[in-house]
Amino acid sequence: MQIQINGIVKEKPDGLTVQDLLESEEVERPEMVSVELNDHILFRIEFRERKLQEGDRVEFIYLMGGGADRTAGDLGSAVALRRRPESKEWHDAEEASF
Amino acid sequence: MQAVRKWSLATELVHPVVPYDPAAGGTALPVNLSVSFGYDSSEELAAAFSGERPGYVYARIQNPTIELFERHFAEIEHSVASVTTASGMAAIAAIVLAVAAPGDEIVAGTSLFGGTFVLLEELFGRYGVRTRFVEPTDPDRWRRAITDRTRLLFVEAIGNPKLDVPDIGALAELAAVHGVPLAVDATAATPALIRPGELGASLVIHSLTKYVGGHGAGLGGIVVDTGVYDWTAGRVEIPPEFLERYRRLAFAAFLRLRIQQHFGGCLAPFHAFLFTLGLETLALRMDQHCRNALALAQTLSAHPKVAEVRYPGLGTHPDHETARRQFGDRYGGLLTLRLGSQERCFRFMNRLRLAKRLANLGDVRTLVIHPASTFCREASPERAEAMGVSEDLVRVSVGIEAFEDLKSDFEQALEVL
Ligand SMILES: Cc1ncc(COP(=O)(O)O)c(C=O)c1O
Repeated sequence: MQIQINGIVKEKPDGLTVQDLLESEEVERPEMVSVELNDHILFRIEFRERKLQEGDRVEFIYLMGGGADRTAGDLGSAVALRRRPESKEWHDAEEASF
Repeated sequence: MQAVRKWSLATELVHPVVPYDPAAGGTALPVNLSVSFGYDSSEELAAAFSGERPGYVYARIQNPTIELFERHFAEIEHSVASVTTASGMAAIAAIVLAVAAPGDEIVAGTSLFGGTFVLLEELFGRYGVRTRFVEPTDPDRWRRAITDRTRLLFVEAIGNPKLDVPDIGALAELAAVHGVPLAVDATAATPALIRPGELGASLVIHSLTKYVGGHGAGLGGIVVDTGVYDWTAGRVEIPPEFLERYRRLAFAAFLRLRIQQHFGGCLAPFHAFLFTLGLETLALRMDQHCRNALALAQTLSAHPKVAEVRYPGLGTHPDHETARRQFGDRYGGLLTLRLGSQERCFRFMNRLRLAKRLANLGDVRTLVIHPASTFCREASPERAEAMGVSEDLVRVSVGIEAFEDLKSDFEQALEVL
């Protein structure tokens, strides 16, 4: 079967579990990886039970090391860009008053 | 959610899914106090820095001890990720910093813990993030307070010290309809009473300082991403680099790699270790906290010198039905009493021999405090009322002592009135 691993399509034997995939791909620090399968993060207890299927998309994600992009500078500007130009008037939505 | 969970909480607490110390076979969480982590080559260090290869760099970003604790806690909450913080307040601040920019709004329950109220109203107010406060148990009021600027709904699973119990499932539905995350501060309830993610909440917060530790030694907090909210598709703007790279974990990554790394309110590894010691007995302790609190609430309700007892486990509590359904017929360790005046409260509290007069909750010992003269003393009268605080109110955090001893301590102290 064909599955997509971190964006790359690979041929894998049928019946492979997520745990098997971690081993066959020699994923680094498998105890610390998070696995996203078709836009859902798997719980760790699912790794041994969940069988992969044709067309599945798998992403290995770590929350250990560095930033989200090549340099902090790039990211700094990206964050700055996302700031909204001005704050709106408060709406007169309902709330408690103190 | 779709996963088959084989174990109950008491078992999960003592058997981490990712073992703490596979190399040596140790059962305790190894405490690694290293701030910084070295590599054989500059290339490897650069790869760890960029995140190209998994590896530790600097403890403000991640540390092996902290990471194991976070992994374990996420599993306990049946959730996808968690990020620890230096305290419960730091956890709440981190969430707001991550989801809101000037001009954005939060909708929060009126009965929040006083520290959280000051943080949202006064401090984030200064930075242009406005919080609208609404009566937490009425979903319709939440609906009417949500605007196109709303970026977060925030509520406590058990209001402190009002002890009201909102319908988390109803608020989660509302949050989903409007594409905003619902954060639940479940400090007073703990995972032993509720896993808010299973009712549709997006984020869970705990002050680890309280029941999780239980020992009252060490401050800590945690933010749990339950996996319910799709950060790639909702109203909260996470920087696109994070969405691209971390996908469904973009929020946890942003929290860890931006907010925690740069605001710096990180948990100390040694405190993570202390919290693992507490966590192992959480289910057992909560059983006893809940049993003692219910029995004490019943005893005091029948006492002629007590004007009113508030405890979600009493049939007279307005949210008793919601609490019963949500918490599986257990109601936590907090209760409040009204004794007629501040002077009577003080006289009673001063006479207690076991219960300690101090500002904390969730400790193994029974603790009492008079909110109006302590953590609520700056609140306006309207605000105090919304928090359920009056001059004659005593909050009790019921400990795990033998019930007979607690009962006799409270009864002998009431004799002075
Ligand atoms: C419900 C609730 N949330 C948050 C906090 C703040 O936690 P910490 O003291 O760890 O900052 C407290 C503290 O009393 C609390 O009761």
